[in-house]
Amino acid sequence: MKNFLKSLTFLVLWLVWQDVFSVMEIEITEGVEGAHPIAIAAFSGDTYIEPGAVESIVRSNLWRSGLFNVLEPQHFPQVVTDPSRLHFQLWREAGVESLLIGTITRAAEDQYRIEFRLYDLVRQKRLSGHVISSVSSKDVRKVGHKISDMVFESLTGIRGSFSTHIVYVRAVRNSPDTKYELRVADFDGHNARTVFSSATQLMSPTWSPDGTRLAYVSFEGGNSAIYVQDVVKGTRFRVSAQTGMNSAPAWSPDGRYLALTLSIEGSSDIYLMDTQTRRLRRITSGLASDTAIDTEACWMPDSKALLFTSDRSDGTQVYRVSVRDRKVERITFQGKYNAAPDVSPDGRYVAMVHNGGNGFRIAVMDLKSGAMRVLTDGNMDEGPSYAPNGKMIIYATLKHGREVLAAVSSNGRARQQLQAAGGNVRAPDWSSFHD
Amino acid sequence: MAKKMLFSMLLTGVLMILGACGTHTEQMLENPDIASVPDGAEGSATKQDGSETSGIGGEDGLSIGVLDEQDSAAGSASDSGTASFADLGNVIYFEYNSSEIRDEFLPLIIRIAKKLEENSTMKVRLEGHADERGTREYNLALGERRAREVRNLIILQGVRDKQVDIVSYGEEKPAVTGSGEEFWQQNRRVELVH
Repeated sequence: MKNFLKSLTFLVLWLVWQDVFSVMEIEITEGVEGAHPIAIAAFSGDTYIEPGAVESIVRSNLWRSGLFNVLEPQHFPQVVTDPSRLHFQLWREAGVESLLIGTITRAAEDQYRIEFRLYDLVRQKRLSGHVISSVSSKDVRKVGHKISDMVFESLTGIRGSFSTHIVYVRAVRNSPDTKYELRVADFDGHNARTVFSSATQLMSPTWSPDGTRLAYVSFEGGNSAIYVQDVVKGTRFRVSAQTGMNSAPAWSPDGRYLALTLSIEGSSDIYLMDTQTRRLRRITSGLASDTAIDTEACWMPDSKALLFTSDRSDGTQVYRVSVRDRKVERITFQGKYNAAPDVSPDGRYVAMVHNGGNGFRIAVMDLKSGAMRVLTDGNMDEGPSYAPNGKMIIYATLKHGREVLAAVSSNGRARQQLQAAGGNVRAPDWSSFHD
Repeated sequence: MAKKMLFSMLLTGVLMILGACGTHTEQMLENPDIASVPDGAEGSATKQDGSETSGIGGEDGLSIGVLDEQDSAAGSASDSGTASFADLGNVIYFEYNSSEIRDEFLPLIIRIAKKLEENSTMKVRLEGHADERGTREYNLALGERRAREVRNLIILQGVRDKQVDIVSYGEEKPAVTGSGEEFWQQNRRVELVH
């Protein structure tokens, strides 16, 4: 009996532990093949700040990108603190190609200096060495992301997007009312803050290309209307409150135009608004006989065309329209439901919500070949948004009936639910690079 | 005006045919999920609607274009015109990813139109909604199209443009929360707000 109780306690503890840690668990859905094997050693002196804080951020970030295989510390062939005692042969035998070593020293009260060095274990040489000074304990996450960016870029040649931000909508139910919040956070969901709060629905937040403004839909006037808010100053303007629907804002790459979905001429069509003159130009068909839904515009990086969702024929599909001559071309042909396109920053791929009969999932299509790949396995996945380097996609999903955000690497290899404190979280948009 | 009259007569004709095959409506009434809607909004809409159509359907062997039948339908429509507006029932339901008005809701829409036509200062708002499947922005457009379809039909009956406003909430304001057809079918709707 005693033993039984003991194992029961153990089981309960284990379950609690599982519950606490499952939030941050990164699911690796494919083998390690093609992923760069790296080890992130414990930063010596980390007890000054928070043991393991910096390196665990770097580890998680590299995992999430889907491009790295990060060796767990318990599998390290050698405890490394002093780079001069690095036993290259041992590490190579363990299959590790790169190693990050860091040191934290205390300069003054809550002022730290962080040094880190990246080693190429195959060529047995140091690739880079950096120092970040005047770090206070509240900067830990920022520094962790900065180091991740530098490691990522020096090993892949691609700029890291770990220091960029996301915006999303959070609905907090406080019976009988629901409060809607516009939240800005680090890409991983940490350091979230509310930039706008409302008793009515909020939808479709999207970053301006320079990262200073947000455009979104608010129902505060009873109907949908589009607002632009300065993230730094907090000022906000209503930019579209046409009769009918005002939906799905999308900034042009130069930040001058907003593509919108309006129904002023009856059916739901895409318009371009010049944000300086407020002049509107219809981009999709507005024929009197047209009842098709055209919405969810997304700009191609060259600004010459938009992708959008339409149900004009054969289910709901993604189309491309040329801005100059408004010529429309269908681009998706698999499944009955393809919607909410988001083009990769290099313009080669499009992420979308795809339903091929197994539920709404996030898929990526190669625009050149038309090859489609489903990246998620949810039932109600939606709102895909590319990271500015195109290597990850953030989206909204359901977990135990609750709306949460998740990130998937663009190669589909790594998937992770993001940190979020309560409520239903949805409609994520990933910012561009901004310094 | 002549055009509108003609359309109205056509619609009434459609009602007749509907009445003749009332099984569809009866199935809806028997659906336990619908009957248990807590706020009663859907229940009353369906019931109102159901009893109306099955009443006509009771007269077996009705066929297209029998003028007597048209008269009786028009009579019942104007009867409800004198009733209080709330008694009409106020929700119209749709199929998944569709904004086509289902036959069983035509009598309700005609009665709403009649009421508005008789009270030209009366205004209503049609609120379009969608279930949670599909993207939020697409569903906002779908809710809008549903409300617009209902509005177009009401306007065609001779109601003035200004009397009917529409707004879409997409999937943002579900009538019931939950996943599965029993919830979804209650959320794909246009609500009449007076």
